[in-house]
Amino acid sequence: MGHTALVTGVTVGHTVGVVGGRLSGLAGLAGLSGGTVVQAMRTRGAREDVCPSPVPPAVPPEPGPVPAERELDDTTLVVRAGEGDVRAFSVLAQRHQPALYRLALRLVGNAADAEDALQESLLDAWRRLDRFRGDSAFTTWAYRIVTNRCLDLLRRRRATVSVEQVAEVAPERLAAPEAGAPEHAAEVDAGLAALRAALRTLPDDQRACFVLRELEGLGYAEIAEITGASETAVRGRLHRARRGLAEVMRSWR
Amino acid sequence: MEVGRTVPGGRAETGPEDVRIEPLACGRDAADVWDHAAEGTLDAHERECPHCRAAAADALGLEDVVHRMAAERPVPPPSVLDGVMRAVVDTVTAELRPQDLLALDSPAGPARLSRAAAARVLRHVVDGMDGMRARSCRIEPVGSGPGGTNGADPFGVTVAITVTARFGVDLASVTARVRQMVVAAGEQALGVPVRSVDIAVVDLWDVP
Repeated sequence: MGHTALVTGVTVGHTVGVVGGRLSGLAGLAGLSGGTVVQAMRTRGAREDVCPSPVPPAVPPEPGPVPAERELDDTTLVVRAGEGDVRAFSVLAQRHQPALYRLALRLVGNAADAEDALQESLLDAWRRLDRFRGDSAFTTWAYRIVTNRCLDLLRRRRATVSVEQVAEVAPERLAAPEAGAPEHAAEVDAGLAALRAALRTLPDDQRACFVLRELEGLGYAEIAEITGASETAVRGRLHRARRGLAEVMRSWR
Repeated sequence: MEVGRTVPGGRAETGPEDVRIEPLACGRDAADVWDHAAEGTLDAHERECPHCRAAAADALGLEDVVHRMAAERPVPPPSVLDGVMRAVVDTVTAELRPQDLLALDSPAGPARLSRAAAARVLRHVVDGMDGMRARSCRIEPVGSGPGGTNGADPFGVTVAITVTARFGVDLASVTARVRQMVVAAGEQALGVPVRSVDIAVVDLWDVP
């Protein structure tokens, strides 16, 4: 790139205020390219104003008259993020991460794995967003990524455990080797604790159907899309899960 | 309690034959009865039949604790999203290709602007207009191409932008204004002559 100046973040007067702190990480590019990174560009007549890099934005981000991205609908944010708008993606991720985290937590059964699965899923979503065609809702698409990630994680863990510890670990513990992890150690609701333990004993695909239907409130068609199964299969797995849990909970009561 | 089976891949899965739902002894679909119990829509038979009542009792027995779990709102620690965004920025940086950059016509020498940053500027201009939101914004170099400015060749970009508009705005005048604003922002804020602007209104929204 030689001596070419590279502008990756632009802040313009009072009419246009863009590029949050996130993009300031691009300053690292200067070291890679040998070029000049222009962190802030203020333009009124003059074409450019090249600063030595890295510098903080000349104009601090300020709330302008422009509506915050937080107010934009998913479709708009998805399109923007798919075109490389990091800030739009950040808003989208912020908006949906609680639900995606809940799903991951209930599928894998412990916070550390759920956080890993969520992080990997969001990165995966960023990489694939430009190919997201919008024929399903963004949430459905994101749920699918998280579900697949979690089921893969459980499968890998089961494979690892079966090699190393098969003799020591009871089968029902395989889905959650960290059962009784600190985040639930002080469970005051014994019923909830029992349900959590019972959920871990379900086959993964049944647990996925149960969580998506009963805890996230999704319909059969959407669950079928997320899990890649037919609606009939979803209905069957959900029923198995419900019966299995009812049985465990009946003995608990 | 059934535990499914482990397929060669290792994932515990329900086999295809296991997704069939056995009817209750009275012939009713067990899953239907469960749904009806959960929704409070049991019919006369389901309220009287002992098989249906047993199934409904299971559903209702589970209902409370499932609702309590569904009402839980665990949230991930901020470190998760922070980590994601750091990695995203690193990815953007590492994967920036020459075609992702626009050449700026600069008297001080060649300068380049990332297309994503340029698109952000133009979208922001549209967002600032009453009743308008920018969606897609694609910027393509024309003339001497992305490589730079070699004298006589015209230099500039074309912009294709999709917008959504608030229901009731005068689309003809507002899109004309989008065009003006995009051209002005391209030339003043980015320093890139805008040769043409394609505008498509792709959706309308209502004020809630």
